[in-house]
Amino acid sequence: MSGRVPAGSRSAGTLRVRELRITLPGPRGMADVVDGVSFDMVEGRTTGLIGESGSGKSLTAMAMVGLVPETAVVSGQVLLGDEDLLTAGRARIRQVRGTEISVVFQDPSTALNPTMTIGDQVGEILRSRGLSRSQARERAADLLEHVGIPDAANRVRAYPHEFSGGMRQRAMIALALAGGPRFILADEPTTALDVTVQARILDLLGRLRDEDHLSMLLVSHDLRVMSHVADDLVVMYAGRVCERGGAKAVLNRPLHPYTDALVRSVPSVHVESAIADPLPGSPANPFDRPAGCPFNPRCPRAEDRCRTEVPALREIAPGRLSACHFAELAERTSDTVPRN
Amino acid sequence: MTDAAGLRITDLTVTYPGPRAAGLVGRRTPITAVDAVSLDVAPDETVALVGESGSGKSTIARAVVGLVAPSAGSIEFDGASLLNLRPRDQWARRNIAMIFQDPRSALNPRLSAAASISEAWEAHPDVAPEGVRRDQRRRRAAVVDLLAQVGLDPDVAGKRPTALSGGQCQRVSIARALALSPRLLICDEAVSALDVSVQAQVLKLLVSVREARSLSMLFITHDLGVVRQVADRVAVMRHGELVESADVHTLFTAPQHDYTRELLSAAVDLDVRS
Repeated sequence: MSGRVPAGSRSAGTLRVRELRITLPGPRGMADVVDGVSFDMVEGRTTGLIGESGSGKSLTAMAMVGLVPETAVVSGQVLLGDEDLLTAGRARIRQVRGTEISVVFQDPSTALNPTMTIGDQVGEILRSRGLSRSQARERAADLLEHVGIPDAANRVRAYPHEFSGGMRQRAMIALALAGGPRFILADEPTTALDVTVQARILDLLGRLRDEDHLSMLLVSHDLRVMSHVADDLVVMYAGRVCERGGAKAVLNRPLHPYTDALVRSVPSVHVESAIADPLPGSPANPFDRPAGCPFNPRCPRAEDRCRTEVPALREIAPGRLSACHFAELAERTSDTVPRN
Repeated sequence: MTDAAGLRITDLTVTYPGPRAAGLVGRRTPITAVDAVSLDVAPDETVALVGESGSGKSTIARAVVGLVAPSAGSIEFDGASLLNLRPRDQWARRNIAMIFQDPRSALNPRLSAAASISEAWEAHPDVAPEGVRRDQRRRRAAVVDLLAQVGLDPDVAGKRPTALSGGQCQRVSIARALALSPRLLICDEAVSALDVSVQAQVLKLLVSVREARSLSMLFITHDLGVVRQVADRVAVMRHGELVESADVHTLFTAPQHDYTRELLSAAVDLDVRS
């Protein structure tokens, strides 16, 4: 097996998710824990998928490469070029994973195999393509060097436990790059790391995106991180997209009260700030989503309509989508939600 | 400071047995997790302890509440030593309560919120509120009162952790910590595991409890933004050593130590410039 990808799909620079729906069995029957999610990953851009626990952000990302629980029912489309990966079949998905779309997981200490050397793990996918052991090891050393691991030629023989957390995450990224993918799905890649290390990993991801022309999907709950690395943002709440648009625009002037609350809740390090007025309650449970707008029980501006009518995600301004009944109003008044 | 009130940690050193030099039989090299750290928390004062993973900040907290034994140094509260306590003197630690990072694992999954909270009164009968150990109705009233202080409804009393959200669990942990009317609250990454939109709720709660009960606080976190919002003074740790300690304004505006500067420059703020 050559492991090569059909030439046709090479031309496509965009990975498109359309109306993705993931249904899981819950305590009270089947529930759509991801409900109609659509967005694009564009070449050379980082898309941030942001949300809290239960928002469905990780499930969405994993479903794009077929990594969902056995009990899940997935519908919609994940389009790689013209090919729908959701109907492509397991063999094809296995082929796509690592060569077209790679995943970087949150915790590199559990994602890496503790009994294999770093070099063998990074080189595994190359070996499967027919490279010899020494060729694969050489290429692995190049990749480790590419992601900023010093003395890579020797470190290929090290085991994961001999690496620090930050170095392990770099190795994980090298592993993700080994198959030459164009799309990287990174699920909370820096959450388990210290701040000083986090900054360096984020720099690395940004550099790879620019140098290797990758598209990146960054899944995170950390708005600070997002604001520095994401070009586009998809904000999820209770399994649905509540806002989408250019990252700076969304954070600068949110068109959904949930995004607005998130932005306000981030404590500032470099400027003195008071503790934000918190939202009441907890993030909605996707298995028990409130009627109408799922955010309505916590929303400062909820009205009767919000409790009955599900707001559609629609374009409010060029490139800006929101699923708030009052988004047009907010856009016109150039004020997101009534301040207090 | 010369008065003995509050928490006083002097030259605290904690070592853990490290890995063995050779397989199963080699000699262990001890690892010094905390190296001669001196730190005071005055009454009514909130001191934030910051540093990266492995810097020893949680070890200090654990030593203060007696979960690890220091190899050198002293820990005093209001002038009384907290080290080498005989079992009958353990009450001296009652003044100090701790809240942990992961509220779900910090609570016994088999106990209702009410049982978790009132367990403290069984362990320390002499400071339990009047009659709560014998009179069921009084106990229930005291639990409901504590729950109300942390913003929870009375019906939470009968629920187990699995039936509660992360934020609610952390509130129950705080109620449990307050059950013995402590004077120092140690918060070890108490809001780190919570959802962003819930963090501010719990922070506000901690601050309001601190004011209402005039508590001292030792606030351990890696989130410098939170530190700036709640702390009076900040102590920065690195590799088991205290590298800098200053009032919050000074530390953020004029850090003295290189490592503090590095931490501050690595910490990014929300960037909303278009």
